[in-house]
Amino acid sequence: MAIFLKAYQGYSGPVSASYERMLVIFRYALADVFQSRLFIAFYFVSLLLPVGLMCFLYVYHNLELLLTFEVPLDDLPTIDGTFFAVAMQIPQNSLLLILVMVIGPSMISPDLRNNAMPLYLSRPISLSNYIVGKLLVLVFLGSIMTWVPGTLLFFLQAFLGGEGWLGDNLHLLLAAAISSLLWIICLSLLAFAISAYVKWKAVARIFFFGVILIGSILGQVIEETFGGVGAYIVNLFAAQEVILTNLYQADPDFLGFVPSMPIEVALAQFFVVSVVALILLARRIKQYQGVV
Amino acid sequence: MTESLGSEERSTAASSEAAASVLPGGESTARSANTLDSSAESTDSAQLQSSVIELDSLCVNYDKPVLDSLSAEMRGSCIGLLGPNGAGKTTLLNTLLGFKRPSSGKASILGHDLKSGNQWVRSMVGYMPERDAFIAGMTGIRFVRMMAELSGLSSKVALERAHEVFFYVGLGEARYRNVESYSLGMKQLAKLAQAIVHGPRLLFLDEPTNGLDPPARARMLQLIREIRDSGDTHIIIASHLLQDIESCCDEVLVLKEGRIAKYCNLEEERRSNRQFLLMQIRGDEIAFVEGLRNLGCEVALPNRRRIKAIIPEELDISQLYELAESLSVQIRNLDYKRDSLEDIFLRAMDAD
Repeated sequence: MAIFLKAYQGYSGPVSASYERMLVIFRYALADVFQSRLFIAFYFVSLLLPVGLMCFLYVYHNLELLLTFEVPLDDLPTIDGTFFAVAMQIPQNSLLLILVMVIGPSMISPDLRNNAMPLYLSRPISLSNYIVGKLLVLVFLGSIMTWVPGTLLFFLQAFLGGEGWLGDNLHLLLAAAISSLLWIICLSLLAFAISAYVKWKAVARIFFFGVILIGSILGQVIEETFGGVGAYIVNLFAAQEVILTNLYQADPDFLGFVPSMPIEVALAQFFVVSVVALILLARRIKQYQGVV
Repeated sequence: MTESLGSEERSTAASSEAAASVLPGGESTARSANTLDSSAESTDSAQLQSSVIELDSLCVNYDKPVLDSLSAEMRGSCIGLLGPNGAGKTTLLNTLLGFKRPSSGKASILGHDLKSGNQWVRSMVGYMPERDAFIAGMTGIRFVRMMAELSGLSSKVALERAHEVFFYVGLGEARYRNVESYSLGMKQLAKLAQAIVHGPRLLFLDEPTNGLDPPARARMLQLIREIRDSGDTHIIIASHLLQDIESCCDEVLVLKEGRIAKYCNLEEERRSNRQFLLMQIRGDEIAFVEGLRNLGCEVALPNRRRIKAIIPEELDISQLYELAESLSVQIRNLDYKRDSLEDIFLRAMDAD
């Protein structure tokens, strides 16, 4: 029977579970992201550093190669928390900032601009399903950029570095995961919230970068004018430095300027920014969900 | 001649599973019962006969009451939602779709309370919004497939049904084009396609013929009637176009200032006035009127030579001609008047 001769009939087959429907949003959004060749190129480049560091670790533990290339052994860095934070986490976090800035605003604002929210939310998915589905895209891509290669690097070093190293540096695993996920989730929600209000992707990207940058500059201005740790509460970069220093047990001298802020304050700062962004985002989406 | 939309997907699924399934549940009833109300299965088959939407003193407030104590039990297969701007149609749609919470009272769809069974209700409804609504950067087929998957269909079945539904609405050749490139009429059809792809039990159509040219409008109305006649789906149409409502709906709900001004079955409403006649005669008017009264008619004379008569059920029109012949009266004009939807609507608007 030709397809065009068919008449309408209801569906009476099985239906998927709630979490599967949330993953539909994730799957489609992820596929959309990879439609851009520019993004694929960027993402490929962003993974070069971890690969390079793996090669470095291999060479680092290969005395023959070091002697062949006449590398002065005394100049080689110690492979510890400071190395992981400075060589891996900070550069990858910077790339993550660019990643979120590029694709974050394109996740939600087109749906709002094209009145797609009633289409989503008239189906058996909730607002939180929708947000989590979109957020998972950035968590997935960001994880592959940051803590996943960090973990691989850790195990490679543990394998090459001998038995004692793994036991002494187990905290690095947790440090990589926590610091990366905090950075990913906070930035993503901020990007979503901004794009929900600004709508146009290009403008949202500028706003997003502006908010991060202005927070950082404002923090420095307040610190120079009034002094005290309180100034850094509006500076996400300062909070990130504090978290990295503490979790990686890294030497602050190698991380640049690290304010003497307790890690609890830095964590609270990420939490507050994320919650505020989430509330603003949810409120905005609710404005669009109804029939107008 | 025609074959059901779901025939191919049923052949690809295990036949025993498909045969056992009555609701979205079928094969994986236990699995879906975790997320959707399992009691749906027992009640569902009876829903086509029982109430589709039940409103029980439903109130919705913003700053002021927008819907004021609505109570109705709607059973029609296609229900028109009418009312002037600001009457509360949009708010009622928002509430039924679960976007707005009632301030008091309750509403249930297909026997499920909106508050407790919201997820189940949403899995059972399809919604076609009035305004342009699509997901950017997607081809038509991908858009509709995604919507089907979001409604709980598996990826494979969603793709099959997306293809089928695109051909069904007449967009088969354009299904690989980007939705943004569609004309207004095509977008309307794409919106209808996404609303019906998962085979909803209740379909909300908000101004479905908005902006369509006459052939496209006729096509859309034909599709709506076909869906209605399939018996699988109840339809709620909100529209300003009375002709559209009249051609598709069997019941209408007229809202006025947040209250129900009229809820009626169109056919019954028309039938109640089907004996209403307007006549223009030449001859002995008094004798003719007397004769009509003797036949059991209620007669009024709005002006000279025009007679308005409500004739009893058992009276045949031919008896009027016999009466006229016996009195040598000429019936120059006889208007067999039926109430149009416009009459019903205007009466509802005029009533306090």
